[in-house]
Amino acid sequence: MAELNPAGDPTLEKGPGTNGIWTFVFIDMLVFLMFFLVYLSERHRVPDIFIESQHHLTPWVALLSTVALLTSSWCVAESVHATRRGDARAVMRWLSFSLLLGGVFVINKIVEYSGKISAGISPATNSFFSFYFLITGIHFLHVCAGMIFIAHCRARASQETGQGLYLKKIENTGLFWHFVDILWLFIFPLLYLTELAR
Amino acid sequence: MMRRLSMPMRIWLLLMALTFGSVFIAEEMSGRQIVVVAIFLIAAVKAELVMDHYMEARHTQRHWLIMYFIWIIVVTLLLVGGHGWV
Repeated sequence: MAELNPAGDPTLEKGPGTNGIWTFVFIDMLVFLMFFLVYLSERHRVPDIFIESQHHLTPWVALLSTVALLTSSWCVAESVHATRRGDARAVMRWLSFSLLLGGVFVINKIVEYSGKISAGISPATNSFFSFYFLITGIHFLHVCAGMIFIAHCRARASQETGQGLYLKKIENTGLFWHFVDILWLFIFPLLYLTELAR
Repeated sequence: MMRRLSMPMRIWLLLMALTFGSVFIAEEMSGRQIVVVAIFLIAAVKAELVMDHYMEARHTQRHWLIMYFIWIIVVTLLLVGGHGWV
């Protein structure tokens, strides 16, 4: 793998990202763990409502979101490697692809929400849809935040690639983006696949 | 051929295969409780691949590697257990 701190700056933390982002992401992961716990508790209480409601979701739409996010994560990982090589053009190219795929996820999710709302489904419909809108909605906001960070890194790439601080910035952005991806890897089967499998 | 592909791309190909594999299993082998377990285990493997190869968790401080790994195990057990297993 590429050198983790090629700038050799002794003031920069060793390893990918900063301790702050690892802490922030872990706290966020614990919050989602709580969401999953309460979701399962409620599912255990009223299983029929959850099973019936899950049939209103479209796994193929969520599969497209999964492919978009995983591919976007790959692009961000490539951009981190390109930053370590000092290749600003490659950094910009990979981050552009990543933003494009993030956009696919966002549009796909907006279309999905619109379809639900036009079918008369809202967070007030039942407890399953409360969780559906809450979990996917908060995840959606994370995707939007990640895209803002990626857009910022892309805008600074031509001037800052090669600087140690920029490497930390793009590594932190990547860590956040991959975390958003990991969350979706569990949300996808939890909400969309389990009833398909029954 | 595989040597020419970058590590992130090889991981992406594996993630794609696992993603489509889990949808295939859910669709084609439905009706068995073990399928629900399988799709969550596949999700856990995918999360581990992202954590290990994209987040490079092995190169950060050891306590983060341990805690992130434990999170994946706890979430997987919770989701599998919450669907009638464990």
